[in-house]
Amino acid sequence: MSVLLRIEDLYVQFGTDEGTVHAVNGLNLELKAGGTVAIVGESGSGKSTAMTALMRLLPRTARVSGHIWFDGQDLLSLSSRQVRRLRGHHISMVFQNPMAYLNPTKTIGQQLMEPLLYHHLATPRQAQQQALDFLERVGIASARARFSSYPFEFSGGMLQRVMIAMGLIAGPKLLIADEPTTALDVTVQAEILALLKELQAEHGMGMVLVTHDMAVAAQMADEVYVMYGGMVVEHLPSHELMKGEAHPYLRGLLRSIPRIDGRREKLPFIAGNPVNTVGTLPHGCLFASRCPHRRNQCSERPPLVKLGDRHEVMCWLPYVDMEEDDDGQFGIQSVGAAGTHL
Amino acid sequence: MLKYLVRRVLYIIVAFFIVSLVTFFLMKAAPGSFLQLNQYVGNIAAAATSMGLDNVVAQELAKEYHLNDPWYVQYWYYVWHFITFHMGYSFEFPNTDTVTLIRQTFPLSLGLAFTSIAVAVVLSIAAGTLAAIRENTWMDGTTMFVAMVGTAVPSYVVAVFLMLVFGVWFHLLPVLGYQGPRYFVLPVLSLAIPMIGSMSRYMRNSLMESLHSEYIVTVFAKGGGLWQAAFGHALRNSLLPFVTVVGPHLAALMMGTVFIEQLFGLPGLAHIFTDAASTRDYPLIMDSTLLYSVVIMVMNLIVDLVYSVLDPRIRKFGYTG
Repeated sequence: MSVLLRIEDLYVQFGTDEGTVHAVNGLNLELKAGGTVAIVGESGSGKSTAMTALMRLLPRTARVSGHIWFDGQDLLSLSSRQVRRLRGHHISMVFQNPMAYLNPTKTIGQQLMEPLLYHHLATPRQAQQQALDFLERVGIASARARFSSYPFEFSGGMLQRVMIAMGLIAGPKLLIADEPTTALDVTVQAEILALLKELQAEHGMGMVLVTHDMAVAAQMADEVYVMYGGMVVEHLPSHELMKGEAHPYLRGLLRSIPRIDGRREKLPFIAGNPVNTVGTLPHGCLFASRCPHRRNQCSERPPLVKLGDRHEVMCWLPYVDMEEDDDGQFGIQSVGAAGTHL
Repeated sequence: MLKYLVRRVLYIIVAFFIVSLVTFFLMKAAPGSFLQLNQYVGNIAAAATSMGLDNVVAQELAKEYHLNDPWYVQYWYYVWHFITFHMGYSFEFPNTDTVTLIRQTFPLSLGLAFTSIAVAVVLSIAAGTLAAIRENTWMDGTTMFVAMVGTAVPSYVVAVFLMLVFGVWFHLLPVLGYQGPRYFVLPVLSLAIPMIGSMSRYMRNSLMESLHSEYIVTVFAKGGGLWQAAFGHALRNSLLPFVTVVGPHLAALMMGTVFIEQLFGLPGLAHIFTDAASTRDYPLIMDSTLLYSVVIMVMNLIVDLVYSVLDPRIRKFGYTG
């Protein structure tokens, strides 16, 4: 399979009054045509910023460096006119909160047709027909009547369906889904994810799914990129997620997912705060201050260690045996602040 | 929608009566009378006094207008005559009834007000939009500086300045009287320029806020450009808050016409209105005050209706309050 998207050494910085914000610090990512990758991380980990940089939608104050190869061209070196021809046509984006990302005073139909009209892919009449077809395809009943409704007359789930239809109507090769289900009810989440998967298979497009939900990532993606402090700390195939994870941060994330079955105990969490990306970044490992396995090496930036096929981790631990560390042998207790067992 | 309209019209009628009552009371409470305060009639009265006829004129007036009755009785006479369309005659112009007087002068005042507001709205939308889509450029800066100066200077100062430049220095436009549209240019500009000042700043900020909304990101993500984002999406939404500030301007505009008509010698109602107030010309005060209040209320109703045209949420869900 050919590579559809390759992000190389992406850096994004913002100059603010408090200092430079290091939002993305050397992101590398690869997506095969028709494949799905998930980017996972806490808020502030730079995942959405990286995708916004890909869409070239960052404010002008952002300093972006690196390469984003899409279809043989570097998105970061294109003129804004060339980028406009790609956006909404070859690369589409679905946003987190559809209520905010749709114009409240224009009808669903008007907004749905716009990608076709902006790119001169259809006459207004054809665009209307395609929009109606797409509304039906994404599961909106009585599409013709809904066509002239306004966003405030829709539920959140319905609006996200509209957003997805809007993303797909021009037939993109790449879809960026930025937390597409975060703002939705749990039952609706599953429907939307299923719909995304179906449509992806139908259209054979590649998808980058940004989420903070491990279950969603595991279910949807072939490969998962775990971001922390603007860096990928671990990249692994999603089937490795529950057994082969190596980075202490990813372990912490996986353990802090509440379970319905099993004994009820206090939910483990990762003590401490996410790394502050304002000003100078820590010299060493960005996670060190919260890491239960911290040791002396960690004051230097860890290398990217290859653990297997499509599995790398940015950590010193593979160089020492991690298992013997679990009881806090190095004087750092593997216990969260509230005394929970990690 | 119809229910809303009916309710609003009922409000206007109620407000109308309250305004008439308050005006009547204040008018009566004000010291002085027509005979003392009107110089021309005052001279006659003085002459009459010297001829030993001192109270004849006053008595005639008092009898004709029931001026010796208690004020609430007088008010009742007023209301009754208003309902039966007998508006009475002005003290100042005893040969024309107030309706004719208003009919002769009001169209000019209304035309002046409407032209000014129309010019102000169109120009401030244009200037505000230009400044917003060229945010933080020299164009933005220049437009907003001019707008700030416009806001700070009141209309009668603008009027004098315009008269000086266009009338006295360059002899381009007439500065006095009314004999055709050319005579309207300077008065309209005088009223519009201060409004353009504040309204265009408001328009700029409102449009910029809309342009920074999330749904504008969607427009760009769909492949739209600044043009599509501004004119296809943001402009309409930024007109909503803009329309709300136009409403209060209307009332201020009505007062503005008073100065401007005086300055430019326009034979409008505002002129007559102020004269009537200072000479205690009761019938004329009542009728012109009520007319102004109705015009302002109707204009505010129109503003609210424009609101519903712009916002589908108001259109579909009806109104609250």
